[in-house]
Amino acid sequence: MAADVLESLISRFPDLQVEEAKGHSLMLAEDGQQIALLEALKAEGFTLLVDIGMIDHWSEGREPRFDLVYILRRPTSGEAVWVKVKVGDGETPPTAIPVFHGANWPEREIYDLFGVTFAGHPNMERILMPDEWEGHPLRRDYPIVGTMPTPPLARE
Amino acid sequence: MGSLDDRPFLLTSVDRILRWAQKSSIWPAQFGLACCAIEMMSTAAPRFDLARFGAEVMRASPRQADLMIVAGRVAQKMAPVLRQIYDQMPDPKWVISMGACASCGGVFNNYAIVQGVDRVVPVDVYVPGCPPTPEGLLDGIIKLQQKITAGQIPANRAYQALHAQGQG
Amino acid sequence: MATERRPLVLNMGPQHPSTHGVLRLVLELDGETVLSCEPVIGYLHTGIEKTAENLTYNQAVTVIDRMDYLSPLTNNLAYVLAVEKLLKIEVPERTRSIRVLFCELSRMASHLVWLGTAAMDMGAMSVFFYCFREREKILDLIEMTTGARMNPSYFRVGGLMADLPQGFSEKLHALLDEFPEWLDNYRKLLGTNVLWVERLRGAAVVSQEAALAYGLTGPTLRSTGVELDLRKAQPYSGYEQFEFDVPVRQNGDAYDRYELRLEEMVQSARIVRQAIDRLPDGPWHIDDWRIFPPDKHQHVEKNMEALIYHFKLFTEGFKVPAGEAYQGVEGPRGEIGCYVVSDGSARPMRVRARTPSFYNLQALPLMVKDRLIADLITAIGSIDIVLGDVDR
Repeated sequence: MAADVLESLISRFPDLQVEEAKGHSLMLAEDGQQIALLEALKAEGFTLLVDIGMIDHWSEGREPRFDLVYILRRPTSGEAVWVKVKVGDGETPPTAIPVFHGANWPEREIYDLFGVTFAGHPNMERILMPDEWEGHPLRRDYPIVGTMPTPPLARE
Repeated sequence: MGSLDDRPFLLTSVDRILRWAQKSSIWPAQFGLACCAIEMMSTAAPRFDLARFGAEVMRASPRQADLMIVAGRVAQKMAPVLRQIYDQMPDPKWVISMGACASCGGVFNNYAIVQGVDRVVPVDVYVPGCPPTPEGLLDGIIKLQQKITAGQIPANRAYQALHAQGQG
Repeated sequence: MATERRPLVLNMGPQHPSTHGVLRLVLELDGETVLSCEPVIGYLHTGIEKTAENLTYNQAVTVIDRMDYLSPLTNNLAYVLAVEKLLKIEVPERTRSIRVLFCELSRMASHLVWLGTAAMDMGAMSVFFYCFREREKILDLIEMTTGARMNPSYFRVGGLMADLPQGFSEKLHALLDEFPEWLDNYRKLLGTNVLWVERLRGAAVVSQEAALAYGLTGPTLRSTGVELDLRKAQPYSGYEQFEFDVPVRQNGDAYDRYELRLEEMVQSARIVRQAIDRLPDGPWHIDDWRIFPPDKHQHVEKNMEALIYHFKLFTEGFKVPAGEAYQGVEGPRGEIGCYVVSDGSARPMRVRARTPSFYNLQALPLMVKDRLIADLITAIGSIDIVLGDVDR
């Protein structure tokens, strides 16, 4: 990332930790700051929302348990930036829809598969699993074969 | 009326000619799920030419189809839909389970995939492979035709299907 | 008696011939005009990300294959590159070129399926037969190298499943020589067809701003005038050594996407020809028995140590240092990305797949609002979704 862009960001977000790597930069945001940071990055030219993902660190016993990762890209150069926030179980991070419309479905997916709700999301419902499903499958403590009983064979 | 000696004639039973007609014009439902659906399309395409076996008329509506090729993995969310499509098909009807995922869950032994479509609908022929080659699917259709000709498909399918849902 | 005029709610799918799989759309219609469209997805949710967490790194290649089943090799590439980033290994030059070659062949095969099915949605049946006839020739090449027509799991961490077979180059050249003729045929069949052109032009329009905010990538984004192609912008696997152009259009409609995809096939053929002509000799995998298995005939049958490495690799897999890596690659539909998190063990702790169809489909309601229902079919066809890619 260009030095002047980075400088102006750090002057606005003093707690920001930045790691530079080949092709992308990683920013660790403080909880609650991420939306303002995304907005600032969008104004700096990172207008393409690539992905919103979540990582569950339950197996390592880490607290807070989840990492919420936003990946943005600058459409002119392809340069990427990651914004990472730690989210605890039961916390409700704010939605990114006001900044990027495309955040709608990935946030619903995170709710569906991890059980983290986003505050201010207009349609916080399951997206991939059936509505009556119990549990959130991508949590590390969810068994891979699921918790639903197996139906009997449809033969004699 | 002349004698039978100088005219060509056919001697058969109604049952047999009916089965011959059924096996010679199977109409599959155009119903693809995942990777196998692409191979199913390849089967209908020029190189493998499903029309040679009289089964190329893919119907978009289950009401006009008598064969359901379950081509791909059946998700938990899809299972009730699949069952409904099966129920909408008129009797007599047959099911081919195409590929490892439809037959037994395949590589996906997990929460999301029904471990074999035979937990949802009764299956007549299983085609192995991930995905099966078009030759594999053709073989499955020929096997089904043989079963139909031999009269091996039980008549009380409606009862069986109910039984499958635990209502029989 | 005056009746109240109410919109009709129509359920389209999940079993519908023109939804390219098991997509369900809940439409609100006023006559033939679409007032609102809400895609309902998840009918093909396979749990690939969860399954990958429970497999070793090389085993996970097989499930990653089955996300975007029209170009499985591109999925593989994103995944193996991400894992190789974590391992900090570089594969040999030959491996990289072969990977590029097969990704571009996959792109051509994938675009052919798109062209055939999109044309069939518009009622042009014969294009489907042409496209599938020619796709078989590409699949033949993939089959003779990898042993499988689809889902070949050919790319492995640290190398490939096998080297190119004998006679591959001749067959590939024959294919490339007749490729311009295929394109001519498609242009004759569709480009001069008034129905096709009129139905596509001005349909499914998306603005550049919306395309970026919704995270659209690939031909759908490039049709709006954004020249973002990861092969050029952030080259991976040696793409910087190949000469090719990134076609861009300005209108953001379905016709532009059709032209773009045809043009992309031309560029892919260009890359494939360069890759096979300049293919360097040398090893096709890394020389590290802890990660890539030793050759069976050369080592395992003669050397006890090699046998032990081979056994350990296939029973336990290899350990990957703790860390996180993301690799995005330019697939036929857009950016396929794999976010791999390792906790230092032999199995990934998390494999997040960023799939282009998921994001591209999200913009569908935007493209069809206040348009005719016939344009909806055009729109679904033009964004080229694969439901396995949407639902994973």
